[in-house]
Amino acid sequence: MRSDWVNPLCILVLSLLGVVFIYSAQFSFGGGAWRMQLVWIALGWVAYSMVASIDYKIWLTYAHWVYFAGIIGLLLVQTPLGVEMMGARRWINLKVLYFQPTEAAKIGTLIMAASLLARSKLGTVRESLSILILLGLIFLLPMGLIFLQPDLGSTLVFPPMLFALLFVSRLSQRFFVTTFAVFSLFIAIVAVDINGYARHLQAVAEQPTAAERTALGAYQDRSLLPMRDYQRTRILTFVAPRLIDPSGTGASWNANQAKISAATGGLTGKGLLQGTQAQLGYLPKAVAHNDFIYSVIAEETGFIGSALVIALFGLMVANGIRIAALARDRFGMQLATGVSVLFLVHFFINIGMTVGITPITGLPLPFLSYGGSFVLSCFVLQGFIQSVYRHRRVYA
Amino acid sequence: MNAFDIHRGDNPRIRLLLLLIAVASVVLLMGLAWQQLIAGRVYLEMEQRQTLRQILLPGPRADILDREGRLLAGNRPLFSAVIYLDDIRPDFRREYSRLLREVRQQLADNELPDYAELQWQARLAVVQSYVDQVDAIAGRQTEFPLRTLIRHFNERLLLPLNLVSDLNSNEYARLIEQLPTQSPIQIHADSTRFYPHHSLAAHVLGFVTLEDPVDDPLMDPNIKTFTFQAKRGRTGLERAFDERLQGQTGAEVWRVDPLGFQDLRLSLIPPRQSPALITSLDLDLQKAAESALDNRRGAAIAIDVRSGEVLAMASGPGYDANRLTPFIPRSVSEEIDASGGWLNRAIQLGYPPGSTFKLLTAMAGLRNETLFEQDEVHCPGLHRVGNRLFYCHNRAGCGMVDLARSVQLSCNVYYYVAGLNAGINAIAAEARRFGLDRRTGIELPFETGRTIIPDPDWKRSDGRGSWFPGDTANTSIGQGFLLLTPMQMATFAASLARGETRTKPTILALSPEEAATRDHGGERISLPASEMAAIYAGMELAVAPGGTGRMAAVPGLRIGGKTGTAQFRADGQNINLAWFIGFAPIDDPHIAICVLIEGERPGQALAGGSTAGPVARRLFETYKEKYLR
Repeated sequence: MRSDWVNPLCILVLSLLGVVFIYSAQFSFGGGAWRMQLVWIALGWVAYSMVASIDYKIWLTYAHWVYFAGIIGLLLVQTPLGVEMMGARRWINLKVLYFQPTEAAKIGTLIMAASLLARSKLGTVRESLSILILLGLIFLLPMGLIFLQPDLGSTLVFPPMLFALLFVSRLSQRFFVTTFAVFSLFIAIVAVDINGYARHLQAVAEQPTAAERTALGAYQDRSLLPMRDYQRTRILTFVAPRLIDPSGTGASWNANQAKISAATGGLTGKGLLQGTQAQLGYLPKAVAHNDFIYSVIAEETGFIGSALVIALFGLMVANGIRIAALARDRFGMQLATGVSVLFLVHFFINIGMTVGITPITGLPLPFLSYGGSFVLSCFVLQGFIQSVYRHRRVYA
Repeated sequence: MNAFDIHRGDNPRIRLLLLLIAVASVVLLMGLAWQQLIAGRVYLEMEQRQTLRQILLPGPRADILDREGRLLAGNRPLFSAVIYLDDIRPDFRREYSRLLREVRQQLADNELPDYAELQWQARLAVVQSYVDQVDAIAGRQTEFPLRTLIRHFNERLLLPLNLVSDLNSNEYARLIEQLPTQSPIQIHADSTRFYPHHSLAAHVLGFVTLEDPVDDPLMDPNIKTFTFQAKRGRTGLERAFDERLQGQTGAEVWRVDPLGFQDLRLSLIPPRQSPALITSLDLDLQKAAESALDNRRGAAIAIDVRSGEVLAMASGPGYDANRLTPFIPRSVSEEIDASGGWLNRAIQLGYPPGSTFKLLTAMAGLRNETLFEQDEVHCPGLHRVGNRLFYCHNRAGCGMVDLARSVQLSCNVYYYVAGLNAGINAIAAEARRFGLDRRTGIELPFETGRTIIPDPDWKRSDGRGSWFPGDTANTSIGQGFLLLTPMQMATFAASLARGETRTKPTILALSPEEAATRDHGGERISLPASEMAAIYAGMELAVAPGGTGRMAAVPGLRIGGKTGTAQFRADGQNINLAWFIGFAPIDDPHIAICVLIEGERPGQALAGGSTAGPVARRLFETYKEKYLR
């Protein structure tokens, strides 16, 4: 059986780059995360090899088990087993390490959706309504649980995956047009809500005393949309940073520092361990080695290095889609598409954050960002693609 | 439908996904290129603004010397115990967590401590503990104010924090000896202005105060800049040559972390001291002038006749400029206010010049050809002008008086007649020929421009009505509306000595070539030599036995002089003034002087000869001992 070499090569380069720049990001603070990352990558390759060598079709049988395992994990987060850090419950304490069930839920939901779609034929919306409703429920359950943690960023990677799966399943075009219209309407509603929030903030700021300010209360208690005020603040920070943070030292600090890091890298960068933004701590040390690892790379390697990273991701994702097209059955095609779109979303939103075209959402960058569960899930997901390539049925 | 149905490989929607990936990658690449390759400059400035800090280091102020290189103003070290906050950050952290633990134990579960407040509490406690260390060694007790600490954090973070400033030598020695070597407390040596001769030439030298520097050319608006306080000249030479004395400001550029603490020094331009400012003053003459003036209200000036260099310039009463630096204590300020010591009486106040002005009246008459040196006037002790009587200071009358004798005796009647014959316009014109209607232009600040050469036009435009012959008579003897500064009269004496109409005084030492070729901008007096000779002869006689200025006489030195006495209204009271102007040696004049002394009490009898004469004599004596050996 022949294997695909393009994606493993991309993964290898990206994951080693990740280790180097995690080391660099923590260099002046003496963190040892790069060693742990090496361990995770080693484990990741083991998981990758295993998943790649198993025929992906087996997951058709076990899809619902994987899915429910992920859901149970998400539910456990809300029990005393869950760990709360920085105001969010995203981890389960496994004594030796913290595990992030969101990653398992992503894999489970993808397999579940792919297996369902592989078994059904989609056509017009009316013909496939029951499937769509079922799919909707399959997605909404983990999304709701993740949203409650709260983790807005991870919640938002699900819909693109779903739409990509529906898209390649040849659902009628009308569905997408309608969805786009509904989505636009949704954006409009959110925009109105955010606008109200901005006015609320101004009203609060105009109150002379602290008592009067607290008397105005929180906007989230009055709004009909189920969003927390900090999430509104984030959106507002992206659309109107001046309003939230006129001096650039508060809510928009990270976004500004990420942009400064990349921009001052220039063509060739400041050199490894020489990036002042990361080394001096302007890029906050809590996030420099995970969500903002790309800023460190952009600062220290400049355009040459950071463009290479984009090229590697583009190549990896495009190759994944190519493999989806090579797949001779619908399940393999769905699986490879879902995985690739998931990576596309992660890589576009995370790098877009540094470039300044997407808001700060806390989405990590596959293979580069530090994080155990996330690294493992990335390897497993890419393992599916390899499996699809290796076990595709070749006719003629 | 079977899940393993062959899916048709030519799904066009998959190709659309490839396009989406391509678009996404290109968008990111373009964004990246824009940021890193095109818009980089903007972000580079943002980065510099947040990571670079500049420290300006004022240079040591240049010395001020007398013409022979003797120190008039210099610097002395000022020691303070300081600490760099960066060095004690671990202390801050420790104290903060200790306080936090303490406070948490006292608070209920759902209460949150005020973190910012705690932070400041911790910082203050740490700083106070270091202050206490210094105090224990130096034997003081001081409390460090929180306000100072907050201000330092916000505005001067990279600069050393003064724990105890201005240590005396005893405290300094004990600290140096007893501070543990690993202590972050450092002894910082700054310099403060120092005037070794205390009040000597205080008005000429001026003084400095500490100020936050503004508008330094080194200040980059894009870089936050910290500055040590700079010394700014407030008056005198310190003010007039402030920029020159300040020297070259140095600068350090530091890279800082997000909290603003220093990380790395990127560059250092050391400050540079400018070469010393060499004044024209002669320390010996200056000392003589001041000791003779003896803190009385008045001024004494000596000018080099040829070059216009001011050899001595004293104004009384004086003050010790050391007491005004680095800042002016209120009590000292009030003391100087009460004595009237702020004023440099040599240049900042116009006085009626009295009889010293008669020399000018004489020259006006000679030039106008209404006066001739051989003409004699009979002085009966008084003179009638219109229906008013004008008296001579010698009520008994001076008898028959010619030009030389009129100068010797300072006969008023002679000058009433001469002045009335010449007319006010001729007198005023002659005064203007000698440049007495304008500032002398000496390089010192605040020279007054409110001096008066009166004439009918001036009187009318000043709203004082029309001009009367009595006004002319008063002006002829240097009274009435006339107001001139001692420096103007000193330049007049020098001009007269040189036989020219102008003397441009300077407070800076000139090179011998400059001194010899200096152009004062005037012309020859160009009156007949015999007539000028009569004036000079009269001046020499005035300083001889029988002359009004005999008390200025110095054996072995031929001096030409003219005394004067005048009345002056100050604070609504009549104050008498004693004047002396003169020069020596009379056959080859080198030094010209002007002395003015105000009466201390209203109505106090003063005469130019007896009050100002001895001061003049001290100046001539010193000159003779030093220059005519």
